[in-house]
Amino acid sequence: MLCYLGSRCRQVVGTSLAASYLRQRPSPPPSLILNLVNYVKHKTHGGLDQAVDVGCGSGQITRALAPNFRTVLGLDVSQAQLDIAQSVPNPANVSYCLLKGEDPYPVEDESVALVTSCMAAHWFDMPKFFTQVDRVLVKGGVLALIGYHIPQPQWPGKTQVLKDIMYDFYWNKIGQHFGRTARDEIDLEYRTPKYAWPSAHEILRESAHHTDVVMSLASLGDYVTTMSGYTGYRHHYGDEAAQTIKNDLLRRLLTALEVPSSAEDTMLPMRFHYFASYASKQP
Amino acid sequence: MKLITHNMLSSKTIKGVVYGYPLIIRASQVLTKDVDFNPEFIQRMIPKLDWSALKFAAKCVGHEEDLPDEPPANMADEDVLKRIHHVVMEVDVVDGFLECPETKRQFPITNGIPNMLLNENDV
Repeated sequence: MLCYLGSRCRQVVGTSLAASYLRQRPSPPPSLILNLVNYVKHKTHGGLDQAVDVGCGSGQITRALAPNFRTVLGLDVSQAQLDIAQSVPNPANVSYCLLKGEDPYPVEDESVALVTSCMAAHWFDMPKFFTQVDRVLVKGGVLALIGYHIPQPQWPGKTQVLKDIMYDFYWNKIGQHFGRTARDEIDLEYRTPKYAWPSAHEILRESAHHTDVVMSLASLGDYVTTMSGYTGYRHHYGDEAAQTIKNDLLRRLLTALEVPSSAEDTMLPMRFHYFASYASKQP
Repeated sequence: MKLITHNMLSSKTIKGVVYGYPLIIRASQVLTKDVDFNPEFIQRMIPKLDWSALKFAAKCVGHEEDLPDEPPANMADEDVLKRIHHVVMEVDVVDGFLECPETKRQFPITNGIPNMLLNENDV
């Protein structure tokens, strides 16, 4: 089920889209998780008890955190996403619960060492979200807002031209249909004042981590369907028009690559550049 | 929903609720799943569990006899650890409700996932 609210498409994800999320959305770079966990360990003086992943979707971050904490709770507003998250093997200490990111989390005050949110904060009522974060975090507990930019195809000698094609699609074809704020806020890596946690003493930022995935161009097309700007475009112009711009993107990429294979058979290394801003609650 | 999950969930944050813990489990479907036994994991888990809430939850789903009345003093006893592992990790409430002990408000469990979505009146 998808909800379209004016120009801002609030994406409550249905079953087939959730399946695409699971297939195509990247897992976080281990180096990013490592830095984050070390920071939490330092700020909580070794306390790595509970972590909560808000807007967990199909569970990529939730599962990545699991080896480092006693329990990890993933929260999402979509039953379909959580069903899919559970449908793959999860570490034994991972749990999922249906809840909105800004509603009161069903855990005790000061019981959580780390709250994460990946590619979800732009959907939240941030003041309400911060209220929950303030309530549940232990002294020194950490809030991390994580995200990643659109995948960038890597090909010797052609990386720049492929990047230009991707960004032309992202900005000029579907850019207006994210609802202006959501896309800009991600492009700006959650650095706008809206995302500055009032309780934070200092905010650290990292932009140097990436996940590399090899995807077929057809899979990239599948990835595109999970972008809320694409959904917005589809709502505005219809299924056929949306398919057309998606196929057009794949065709342009294929042409630039100068390979004889089809979209299904063309495997392309994709780089997801991650960013994170994190801070700890005053001790 | 495994009982390890239930042990951490509270409805305290709903307006008017003072304690909200433990939530009552009203299960309509409970399955037993195989989960790899990891003794160190269970040993680390036990001190952090609210044991009376765990006993209460086990009673709700008909597994009360499998649990000792108190957390084990001897953490090296693998038989006891395995029994605890079974109740905490392998019993899965697939469908049913969680009920707030104070307000009687019910939270559905669907496909093993508790739905704690709140209305405007609750916050």
